[in-house]
Amino acid sequence: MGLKMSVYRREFVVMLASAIAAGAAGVHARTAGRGLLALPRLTPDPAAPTFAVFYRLSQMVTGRIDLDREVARRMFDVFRDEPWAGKHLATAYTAAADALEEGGPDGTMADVLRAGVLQDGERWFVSHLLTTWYLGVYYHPDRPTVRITYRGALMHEAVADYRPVPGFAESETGAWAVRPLHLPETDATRR
Amino acid sequence: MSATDQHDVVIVGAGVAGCLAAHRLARRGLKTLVIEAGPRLRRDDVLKDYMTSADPYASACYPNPDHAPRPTPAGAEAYHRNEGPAAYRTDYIRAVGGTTWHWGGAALRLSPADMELASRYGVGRDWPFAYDLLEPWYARAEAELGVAGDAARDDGAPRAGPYPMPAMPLSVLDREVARVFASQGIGFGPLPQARNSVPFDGRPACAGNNMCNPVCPIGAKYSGDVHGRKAEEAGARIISDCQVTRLEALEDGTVTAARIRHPDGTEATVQGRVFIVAANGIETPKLLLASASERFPGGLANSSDQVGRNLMGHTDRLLKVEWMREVYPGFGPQTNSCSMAFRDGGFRAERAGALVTVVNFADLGGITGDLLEGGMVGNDLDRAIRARATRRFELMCFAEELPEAHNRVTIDRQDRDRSGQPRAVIHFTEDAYATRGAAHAADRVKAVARESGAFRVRSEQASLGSVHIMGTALMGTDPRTSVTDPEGRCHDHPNLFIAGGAVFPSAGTVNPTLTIAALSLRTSERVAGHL
Repeated sequence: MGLKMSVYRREFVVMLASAIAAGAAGVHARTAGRGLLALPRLTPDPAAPTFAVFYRLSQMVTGRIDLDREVARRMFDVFRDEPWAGKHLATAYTAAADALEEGGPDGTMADVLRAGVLQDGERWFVSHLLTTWYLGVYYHPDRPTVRITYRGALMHEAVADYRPVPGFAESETGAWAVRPLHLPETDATRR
Repeated sequence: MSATDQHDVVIVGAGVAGCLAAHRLARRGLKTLVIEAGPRLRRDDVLKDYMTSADPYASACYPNPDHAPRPTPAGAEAYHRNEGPAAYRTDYIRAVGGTTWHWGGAALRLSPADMELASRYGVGRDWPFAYDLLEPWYARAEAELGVAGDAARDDGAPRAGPYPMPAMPLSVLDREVARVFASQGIGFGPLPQARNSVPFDGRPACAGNNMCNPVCPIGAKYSGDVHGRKAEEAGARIISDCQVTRLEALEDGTVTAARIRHPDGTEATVQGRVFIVAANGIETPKLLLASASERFPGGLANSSDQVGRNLMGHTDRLLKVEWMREVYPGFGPQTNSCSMAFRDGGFRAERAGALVTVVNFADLGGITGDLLEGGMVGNDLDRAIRARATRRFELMCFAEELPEAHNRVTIDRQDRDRSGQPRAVIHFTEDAYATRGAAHAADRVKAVARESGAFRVRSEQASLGSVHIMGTALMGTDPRTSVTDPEGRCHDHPNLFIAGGAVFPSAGTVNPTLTIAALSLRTSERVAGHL
């Protein structure tokens, strides 16, 4: 009983701290919108894609300022070799940056994408980029599939308050017996 | 190795059965050699391969070399050839430690009824001995593997003593499932498992990595390499990356040697006084059939024409479910609770008994991929991932398949696999008895969903259970209808034994590994007595 109580008490504190952090995660994109507007605008060159533009576009589409630069670099090294990479990157970045500026401080990349600002090629490219960041795996119909990152896949963040990334757990046995601190249950799109 | 190498015991296969036997026999002072077709593995390498691989299936992180090819779910190379109406697609590992590297860890005992199907219910076969004879060997197997379980439950399999470790703590998910199903009269409880609930045998307790399959990062889950190491410490020798291509026997049936082939194609012979084939329910008949000679034209141990026949598994119904409230799957052991409610009863005269297991796995990649494909982005995406990931998991219903002579493994000497061995040809048909059993359990789960309103079933997937490979060298007392005697000794060969799932006369309602371990320990005791 003593061990069980210590697990519960310790994990309660950890869960509480994590829950506060996770609660803040829900406003990633909105905060990032304001943060991204504060960054200087870049001038992309369709003939010579740069890491800086790639990273900035990644920040925009994921709604996260603090993306892992090492992961981004690995991703850029794969993306840059795609046909039309430079054009897609430059066009997508320009369209997204314009739309964010027009949208004002409350605008998010999600708004940009929903508004249909991007043309087909760039919309595909942005979707492709977002998928790679979230899954950690690069998929392309005409090129080899590549694992970019395992631990850094953004999908893990959605459940990070209660679930260690598999392979990196250091939990006390039985930590899974504790219900995470109750947050307002998410109700978006279950089906 | 050379033709002059002589051993007391030669064991083919270094999976859990072979390694347990090697350990036990080496400790008795017997000169023991284990020959494993596949490589030795390092846990860190497997983990690194898994985390850097983009392959879609879990066992992709395990080697699949030309000298020891194996089946994969991806089917890039059809290692087996399926020629029956149903595809028996399996996924096992050939390496020191065997398939327990990526098993789920479920360590349940057969029940007395599982072993008396014919006499109690008029179907299938009885085991050639009663549960009471196997009980002490189960206890020894649990002590060797390290099994955690609830001392207050026997789940239909009577116990003379406690589990080596206390039950693994139930998760939020386990308790919620138990609560809802209990309200409908169906009990769920802790799953006995070979996974440390406390530090045990120099291995740590489970830390909740939830990647039992494909690999436990810290060794909290038992895998056969544990006894591979112990066997070597006790004096056994394990040769990896070395395939036994045939066994040779004298006119009187005495097996004298194993022909082996190295990856570079060089061959050698090892001699032994006793041979144990511990190479799973497909590789075992492959070897025995490939060992045909003028004296034994049907292959070794096959005067009954039973080698390769009676291939069994478990027929599955996998239910993907979504709970109405958050239950947080994906943390802790991948399998941690189950229901024995469908295990036994008079119904077994008509349909199979079944086990229902909570599959504690969050398919985060699948959930995220679906949402991305649907065009979801931003905050909505993150919220939707969480909404689904905290509620979606699986309930696995599996039911035992009966031994049928027409379900069999043969070999084709004109069709060779990458290692040069004759390819296994599998003929398998769906077992209506098992299908009815699995479907019944699944239907009850769906009824609970409807009546409780606590969850919904999103999809149902049916498959023939070819992950638990059983049969193909059945044990029995009648040499006309079985391959080995009740202790695993081949009827036709006084010094040839078989260990592993191949000897099971029935599949039973539970995962087979603990029974494989118990039988291997019992057989090795008999081998020691033979010498």
